Amino acid sequence: MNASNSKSNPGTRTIRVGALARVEGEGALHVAMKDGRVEEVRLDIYEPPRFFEAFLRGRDFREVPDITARICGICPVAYQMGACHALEKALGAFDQVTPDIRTLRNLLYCGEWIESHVLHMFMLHLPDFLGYESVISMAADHAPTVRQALRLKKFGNDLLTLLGGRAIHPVGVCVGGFYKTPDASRAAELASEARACLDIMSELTLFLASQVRYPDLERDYEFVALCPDDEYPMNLGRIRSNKGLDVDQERFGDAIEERQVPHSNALHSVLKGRDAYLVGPLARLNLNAEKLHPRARELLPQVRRSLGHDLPWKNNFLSLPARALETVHALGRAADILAAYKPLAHPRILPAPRAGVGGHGTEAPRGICWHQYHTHADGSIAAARIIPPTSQNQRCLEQDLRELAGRLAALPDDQLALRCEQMIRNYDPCISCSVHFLKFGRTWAPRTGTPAAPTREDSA
Amino acid sequence: MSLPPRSILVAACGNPWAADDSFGPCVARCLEQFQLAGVEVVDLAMRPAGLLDLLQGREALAVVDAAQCSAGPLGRMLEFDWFDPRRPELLHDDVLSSHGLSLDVQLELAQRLGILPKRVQLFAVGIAGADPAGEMDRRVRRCVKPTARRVARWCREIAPARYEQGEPRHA
Repeated sequence: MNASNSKSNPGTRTIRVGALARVEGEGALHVAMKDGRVEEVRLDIYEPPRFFEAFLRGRDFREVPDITARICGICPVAYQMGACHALEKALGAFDQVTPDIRTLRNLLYCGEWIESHVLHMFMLHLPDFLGYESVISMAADHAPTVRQALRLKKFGNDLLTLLGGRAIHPVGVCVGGFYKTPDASRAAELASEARACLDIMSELTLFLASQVRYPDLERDYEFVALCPDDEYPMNLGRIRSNKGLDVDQERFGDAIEERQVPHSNALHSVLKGRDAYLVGPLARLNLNAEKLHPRARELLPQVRRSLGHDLPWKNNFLSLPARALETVHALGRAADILAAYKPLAHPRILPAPRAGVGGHGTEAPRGICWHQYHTHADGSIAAARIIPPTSQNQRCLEQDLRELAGRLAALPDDQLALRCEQMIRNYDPCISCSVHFLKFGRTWAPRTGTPAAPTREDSA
Repeated sequence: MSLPPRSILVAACGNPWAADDSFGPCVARCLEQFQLAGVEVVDLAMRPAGLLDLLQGREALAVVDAAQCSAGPLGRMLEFDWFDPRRPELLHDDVLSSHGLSLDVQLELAQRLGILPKRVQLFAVGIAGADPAGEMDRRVRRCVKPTARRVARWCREIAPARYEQGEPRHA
């Protein structure tokens, strides 16, 4: 239920957003302005805490990937990969994982990146930029593009099914590798589709770079991403930033501080002694562009020219073309891996229980998803800590909103709401994906000696 | 003209752990016994957003779900053409997809893209609630097998040629 207290405080209006039942993500945005200035911005995440870290305590380490997968229906692989790598470290088995297993983990992750990025780009975000209210209205004018996107999305899901057994909450992953690996014939079928999808996505990337106008909102972000030496980040690599952060995976939890804020059930992360930081496709691309798959790398100059921006891109609206390049990368990687695929004789190693501690982050489609586990001698979980990308980006997101709302203060409320919502979608936030249930409220404080500006609330 | 294999999709929706809302998944399990030729039965459970990936090349789609009880008495079996304006509201269809890709939205999008099956039929039951701790109401449970039989009959009516041609009766 939404209400106003304008009667008790003439000239002001306070918006209260009631709880939305049975939604995966529950969030609200509040912007308070006075005399054209932004006084307060809050991304309220009131979805109840889910206590996964507590659930995990006492569970056998082998159960963890299947439990953490349930954190998210969009990026379950990220939660499985974070758990597997961190537990392999805790159990002293990290270095025993074979290169073949690591390659198949990347292939599985490619499926998640493709599915998640394509869904976000073409079904959720592109309508904003092309001036449509939804993908349905966009499909009237851009049906071939939407059809191509559906084909790409399906391919991503097929990859997940190939290795995970099913697309949502895959069950093929275990600590140490995979329970089994697929037949070569099925992989070969997908290899030809991967090549076809790669061509499609390359064209779509150029379309997104040349035919879409992106609002300008440059900010001086601290970009944080995995930075492996020899590949575009996915599962491995030190964690670095463009402003000097350079930590081992294990130490990342010590480099950041998680803060509770009154208006959010998700913790806000900041870098210790610094401030907000940005994770996700823009950070990955800015820090690792030279490691993209050759098919994505060869597109990059054209994309940069079309956009009129050299890297680093400091405009978060350019997350969309960054995602497009990453999708080309993931398709290229998937095509290569599938072409060379052979079923593994030993799809997993078998870590032995022991007391230990391990921390590891991998690159979820939305950014670093970091896990840390303490294990008892019998292999049960003593403590778990999971830092998802959306909570890391929250503070940055609020700063973006403050900047954007200040610049666009003259816009009518409905237009400002739309632009703020579009800005939030830059992050593809997984709360879970609450932007589509987001309520926008703007409170105008009365100007001294003048009547209050109109106030309203829009359901976005 | 013979239909391509699995040209009929039966998509069941609902939370298997939430009392009456598990109606769709229960019907899907029951349908396995019918071994319907040319029919693919999928249990979308609480993730209906996957439907769009499954529509290409289908002749017909049957959606099996729970409906708000206001659509009729508890435990009443309902069957509607999807586009019939009298079709009842499905349970939480508007919020189950975190991306706003409800069944309605997906089928509208499929229509725009020209991949909507020629026939789309809803098979539902009026339910009382979706309490995660509760059990399925006996009046709803009583509808599971009859609904499965109705769905099977509907599928056979659409593709009688396959049976006349003596195709094996397995999906």
